[in-house]
Amino acid sequence: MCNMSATKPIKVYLQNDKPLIWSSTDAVKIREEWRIVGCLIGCLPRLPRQNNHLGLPLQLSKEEVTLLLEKGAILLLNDATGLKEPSEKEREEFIEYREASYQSQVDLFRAERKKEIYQNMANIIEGKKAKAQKEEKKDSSEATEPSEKEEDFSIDVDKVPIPPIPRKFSLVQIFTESPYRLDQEIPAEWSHPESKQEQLRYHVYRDLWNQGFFLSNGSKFGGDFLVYPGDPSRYHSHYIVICIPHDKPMSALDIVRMGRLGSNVRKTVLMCSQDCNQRISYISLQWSGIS
Amino acid sequence: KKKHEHILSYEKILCEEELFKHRKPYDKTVPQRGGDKDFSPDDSWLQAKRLEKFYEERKTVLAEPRVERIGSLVTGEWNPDIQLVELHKEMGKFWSTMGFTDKSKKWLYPEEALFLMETNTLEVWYKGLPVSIQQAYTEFLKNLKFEEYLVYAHLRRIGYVVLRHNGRLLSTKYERMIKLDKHINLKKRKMKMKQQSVFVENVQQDSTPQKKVRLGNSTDSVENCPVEMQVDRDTVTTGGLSRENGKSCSQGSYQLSQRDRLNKDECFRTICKESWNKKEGKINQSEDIHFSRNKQTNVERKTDSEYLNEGENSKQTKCSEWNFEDIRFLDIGVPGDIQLKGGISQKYLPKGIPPLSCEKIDKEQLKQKQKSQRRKETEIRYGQDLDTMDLNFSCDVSQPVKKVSASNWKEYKERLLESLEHNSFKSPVKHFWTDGVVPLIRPEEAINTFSVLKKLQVIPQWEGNSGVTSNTDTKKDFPKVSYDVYKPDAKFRKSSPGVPDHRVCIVRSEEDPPSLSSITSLYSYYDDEVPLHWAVVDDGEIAFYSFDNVSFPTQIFKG
Repeated sequence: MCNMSATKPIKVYLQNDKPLIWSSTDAVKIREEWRIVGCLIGCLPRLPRQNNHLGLPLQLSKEEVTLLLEKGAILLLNDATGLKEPSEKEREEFIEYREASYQSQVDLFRAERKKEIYQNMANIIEGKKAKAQKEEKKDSSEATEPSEKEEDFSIDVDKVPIPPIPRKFSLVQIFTESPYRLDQEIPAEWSHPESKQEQLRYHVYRDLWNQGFFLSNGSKFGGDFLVYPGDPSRYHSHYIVICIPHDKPMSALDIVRMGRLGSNVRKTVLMCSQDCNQRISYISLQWSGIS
Repeated sequence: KKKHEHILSYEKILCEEELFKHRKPYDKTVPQRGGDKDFSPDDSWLQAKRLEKFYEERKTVLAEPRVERIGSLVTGEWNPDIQLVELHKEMGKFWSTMGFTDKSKKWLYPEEALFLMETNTLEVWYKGLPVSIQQAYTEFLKNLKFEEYLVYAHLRRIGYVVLRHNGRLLSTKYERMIKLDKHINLKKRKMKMKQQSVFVENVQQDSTPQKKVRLGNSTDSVENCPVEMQVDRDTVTTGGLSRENGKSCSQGSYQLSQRDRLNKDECFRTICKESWNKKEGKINQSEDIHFSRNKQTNVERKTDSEYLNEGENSKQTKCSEWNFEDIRFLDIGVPGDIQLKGGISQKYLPKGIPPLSCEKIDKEQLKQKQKSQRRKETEIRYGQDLDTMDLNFSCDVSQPVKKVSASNWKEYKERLLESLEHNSFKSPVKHFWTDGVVPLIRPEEAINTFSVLKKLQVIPQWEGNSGVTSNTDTKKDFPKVSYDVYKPDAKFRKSSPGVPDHRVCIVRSEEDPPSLSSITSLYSYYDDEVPLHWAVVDDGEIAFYSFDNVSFPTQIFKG
């Protein structure tokens, strides 16, 4: 069973009708604790120009949101992060924040530089000696005063003047998640599932989730969902779920079509429907030869 | 830690030490997708360990913040009224493929700005505070479909140059083949096209950038070229090209083009030019105008050409000093009797070339040469001289068919049927046509192999490029092409991007696939060889599909 943490519920923002998770801890929690896969849709900060691994936000499907709302795991919020004109005080606060950040960075960079000098002290001293010798050789024809052999080349790290870094080298954060405090969080209206097909899909989703599977989007394989025995990153999916209304007539051609689909990708096709007693019935299709 | 009077919630922001820690990206490895997977969970320690490692990696990678030096960030200001980002200064390489200039300011489209934010290039401000990506996802994508942004970002991440769709190409296939599109000034062509299909609407001469009209419009490319003509041509009279007349016809203003600003004066001139030409019954601008006609028109033409400002690549013909009726070339095309008349006098020829005169040409020699040339050609083609071949039909083919005349269609059809019966073809196989089962092909239809084979095709093949139907019903489900995609190229110029390498249409997976009629109208509307892709978006996952025309070859058998 999953370990449901009773601390803060996960916040899901409904933006332009898409449910998105912006916090990285929430994105982690929703997978590890709630077995919800979702889909990452943003650029990855570490390596933005590739499509193999995307980053936040995490987009949830409609069935996932409905399930999580039922379990009380998430708070679905209306998008109140819209742009408002900030007050003069708020602008000042931000400027102060940036200024303070810059000043502390100056100190940090300075400390870093001192550390570097200290680490490379030996090299620096050698370099200075070599330089002095070169100059001696140059001046040896002119000056005949005996040079001191033991010149003190040591450097006192604390006394080295290190200029503060220019402002353009100071670091700032581009905010992924909105850093601005929200006055109030308005819960959003959620009306899924509405149509019969959506209801069927949702009931099938919930039933399979309750049995401990991981479920993800199935459109790449021509079905409604893909069913994984464990985390999708570690296991291949075993089933392709196709939701069919219970009393819909099917022809043999439909069966063959689904069978071919499954056998080509080595997965079992699950035809799922809901009977009049609200129970989900599953019929699996597997290709077998006539022996 | 949260201070209630403050705007920033500090728990969500990195402190300076953390910022400093992230100043250099140490690790650029990305957890691999796929890789070797196990079949099913077996509660082994190894599997648990692998899973744990995956979760750890994922946590680290997702939690990584976006930290950049101020010096390497471009800043911009979000303008919500026009939904654009104003760039303060450009930097880096993105300006060559993104954004546009208007009123000496640099602007970025919202999807471009959002993408640059996500790739740590741009910082967008709004009235003194920086905009976070979460807020941008709401604000910037108000007029854009969410799926459109996802596809835009997907394509840009892998390196393509993606621009908003700019309508179909203005140059024709032939022009592209002879590379004329690179020489003709397409601006003029655009204006000319606009006159033929003008969408008159009110233009607000306000301070918003010109491109706004394209953005705010929910019209798709089809509505850019309706067939209605709304410019009142009759307001321009032949006589005076007065300013007043011109003003009345330029009152209808035009839908603004995307990349050039339609100068009111320019369009006034071109309308007057066009309508004047049409009124006089003269041919179009691109053709020569006979000089020797009406002297009056010459005078008017001069004032016209003086008045109109001609650009470098103007199609307006300049007055010609040559009298083309004086210049006669030899007509040696007709075999047999060579018409020898005329010559070219010295004044038309450049220096050093003697004048061409026909008297010096040896007629007989020319005739002989032509004959032998023709003989050689037929020998090559047919293996023997045509004169020695017996090309007669075994029966008499050429029969004079009496002309049928009638006073109305009904009568004509009747009489035609009668005459067909009378002029029955005297063929040696006449008995074929007396039976119930008749041959498929009549001898008169046997012109070439193709026409014969066409008869054999019981189900005719549908030609994809059968012309655009101006049926208004098809306009409703005409799929909207969202983007023109170009391969990354150093020679790419935003001002003239050229022929796109791909076009993309975006649909959601819940929507139905396009109907055959909409696909056909799409393919005939874009009559170039640019592949059209359909991006199907399903809750974040994108897959590309395309429809290709397949033509079955007609087999031709010998003998």
